[in-house]
Amino acid sequence: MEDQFVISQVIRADTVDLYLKGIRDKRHLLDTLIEKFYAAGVIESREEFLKAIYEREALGPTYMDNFIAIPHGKSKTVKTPAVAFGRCEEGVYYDTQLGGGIVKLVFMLAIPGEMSAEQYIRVLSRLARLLIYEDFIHDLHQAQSYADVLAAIKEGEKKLS
Amino acid sequence: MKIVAVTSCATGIAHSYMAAEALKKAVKDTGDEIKVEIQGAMGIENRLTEEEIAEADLVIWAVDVGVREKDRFQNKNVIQFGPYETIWDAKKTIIEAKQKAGL
Repeated sequence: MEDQFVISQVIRADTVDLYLKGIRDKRHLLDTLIEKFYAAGVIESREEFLKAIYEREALGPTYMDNFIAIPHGKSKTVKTPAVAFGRCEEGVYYDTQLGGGIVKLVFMLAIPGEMSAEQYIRVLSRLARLLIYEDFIHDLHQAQSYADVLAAIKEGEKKLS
Repeated sequence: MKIVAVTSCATGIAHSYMAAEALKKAVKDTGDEIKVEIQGAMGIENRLTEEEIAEADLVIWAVDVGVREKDRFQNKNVIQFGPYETIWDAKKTIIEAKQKAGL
């Protein structure tokens, strides 16, 4: 279970897309990443997972400033913990109930329903803590491949105690 | 200088962790020591002891909700900020806190 706290262990090549284009809005962005989870067998139902994402969105914004958003959902439709990453350099407006902003980097987390609240927060907090490191964000903007993204995450995670 | 801090956030469940990480990162530049208590969805993490609070030269709260068990700080000069400003410029938070505390 310990490995599930580590982002580099749960991010997957088949749910990373560094060249998202033509994304119209937040919903389109969410749907695009949810589709990747579905195709990868991470989730069984796109509708159930989208519902879980929006339930979380209702609790508080997942827009993090600095062109980053971290939408996440905890649901029994999630079969295995996973992280998707999408980069959209043209930017997408990401609205929340407390205002929003342009997003270029998106991490989406799929959390299985049976995962405890504590584990859930630990995964999320590890990711959130990574986001304050400028060199990590820089590396994500520069990444040319999944291997680059994974290397950036692993390098970033070394800084977290 | 010895700093203790409390971070919390009313809305984003991860922001208290980000503010804590930002402060820990910032002291590498300012040359201070810091311990950060996180008051988040899981209760109080990395709790500050009475001794640590007593010994601290500076107390920073990066919070937008009430601090839990704030009695612990009643004899200290607390400098307060919001969590979001701290996340994106924690070094400025620390420098300003020192100025406000007259240190």
